[in-house]
Amino acid sequence: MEIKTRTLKVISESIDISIDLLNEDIAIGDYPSWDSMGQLIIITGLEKEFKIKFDTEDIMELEDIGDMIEAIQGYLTN
Amino acid sequence: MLVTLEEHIFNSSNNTPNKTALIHNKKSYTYKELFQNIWSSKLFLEKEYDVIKGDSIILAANKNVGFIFSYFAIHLIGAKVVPLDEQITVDRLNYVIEETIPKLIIGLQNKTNDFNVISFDELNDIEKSKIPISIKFPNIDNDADIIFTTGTTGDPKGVVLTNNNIIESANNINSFIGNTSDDTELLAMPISHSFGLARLRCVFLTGGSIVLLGGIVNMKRMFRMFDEHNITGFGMVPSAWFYIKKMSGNKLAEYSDQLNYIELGSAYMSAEEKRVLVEMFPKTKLCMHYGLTEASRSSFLEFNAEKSFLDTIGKPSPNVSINIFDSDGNKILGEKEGEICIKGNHVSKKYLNTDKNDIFYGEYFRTGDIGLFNSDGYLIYKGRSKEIINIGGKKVSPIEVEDKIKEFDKKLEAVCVGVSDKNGVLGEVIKAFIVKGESTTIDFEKLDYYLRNNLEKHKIPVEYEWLIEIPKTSSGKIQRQKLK
Repeated sequence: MEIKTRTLKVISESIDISIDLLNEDIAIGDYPSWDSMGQLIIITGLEKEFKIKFDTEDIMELEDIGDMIEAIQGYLTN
Repeated sequence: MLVTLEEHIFNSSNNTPNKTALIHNKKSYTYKELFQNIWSSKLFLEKEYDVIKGDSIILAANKNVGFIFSYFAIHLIGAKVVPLDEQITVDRLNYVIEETIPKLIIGLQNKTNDFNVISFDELNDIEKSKIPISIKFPNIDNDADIIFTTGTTGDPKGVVLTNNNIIESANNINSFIGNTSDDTELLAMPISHSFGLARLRCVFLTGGSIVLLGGIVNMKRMFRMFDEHNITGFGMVPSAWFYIKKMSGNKLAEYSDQLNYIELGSAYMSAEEKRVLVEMFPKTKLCMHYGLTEASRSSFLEFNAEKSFLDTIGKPSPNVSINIFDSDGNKILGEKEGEICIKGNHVSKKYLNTDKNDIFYGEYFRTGDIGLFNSDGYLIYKGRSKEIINIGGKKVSPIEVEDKIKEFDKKLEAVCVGVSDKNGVLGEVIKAFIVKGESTTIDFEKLDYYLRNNLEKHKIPVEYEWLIEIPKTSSGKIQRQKLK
């Protein structure tokens, strides 16, 4: 499965929002369930799914789904 | 003479009309504009929806300026505000509707269609009316807010607060924290919750400025606000602090010189965590409160000035008296445990729709929390009375055992509850739930050995169980009853 699909799946399951309602432009906080607790669950879920560990500086930069996909691609290629 | 908060805002709109009161997104409101919006909302609600004195109005939003205008407008009419979280469940909303019989619901269009429901957009578009020179303000003793407690046990209760309770509480908080009209505070908590709403009132009472953010989920945005508006005050619950640390490391400390005060509260914070804040913010007033919806901010602890007492919940707030009572309603003297009871003009006098007369011992409101005063006059919190575990007649606070587990390994998150003693001897025994994180490892033998050496025998858990997540109320309070 490609990175984008896997990322959307993790986010969808973490904040209980249908995958059809998610795309690269959706930003954190756009849905009420995407609050600080939702964001924590997403970050932990993505780290587990891709077996990576986000640096604190990178976490701060993750403002929307597009940022997340890009960051994960970076971690997987480096 | 005490006057309502609305009158204070009106006075600021006359005395400092051009001072910034509120900033949300890219829009800024001066005190004159703030009061003009409040006044216009009042006239609109009276004219279009026939809102009159004594009505109850549900207001539901977490970060909408319309909430702020309507909140004060409803008070000006002499009606009552029932603030609700916009994420309230339909079941709970129906319960609140049944209890309060509201004339109008503002927000929540997607949750109910039974009532007169309007959106905040309708209020945002209204024509602005001129503020009269003099205004008749509501009576200080009028009921102003009905706040539903999150219900750590049983059904939610509607706590009724008068204009007087609200202004007294805001005065007490400001006296302790010492914020002034020069401060600009970032309000990142939902304004429909007790803590967020109180911050709003405190800032408007001093004539200071507030920047409304509504949430800390986007940390980059939060720090941008700190920079853009030169934020000098901030409020957070301990779980928000946990989130800020996880998401941004020590970045908040970069604002140490800028922040005059941080208010913390609503849930337990360990002394160790308080020390971390002391190191990060040596010059900031770090004020942590203890209180309930019924008796907001009844005690305060300032971490930097009271470093030796970080394991306590501080001393009674200005103008507040706290005493410890036994179960017969007698005042307990000395360093003995009992029920924490609170007296002050900030204390609610009643719950909605109940005639319960057992909520006071004389003039002292019964919190249902257990605690004691140490010899220095600091209050030590021991837990909710219903959460106190009774082991063969010996009372144990779950917090004490949880702290010891944390002392063994600070990475562990544990919750202890009383469960039936299978042997039928002791009544209750302690069961410890430990959160199973991805990398959590425990040598249970070593933990048991540690607890045996550091706790009395009856306080050692007899059972352990892994837990995925600690059940908490929306304000972060642990719901131990759910684990029974």
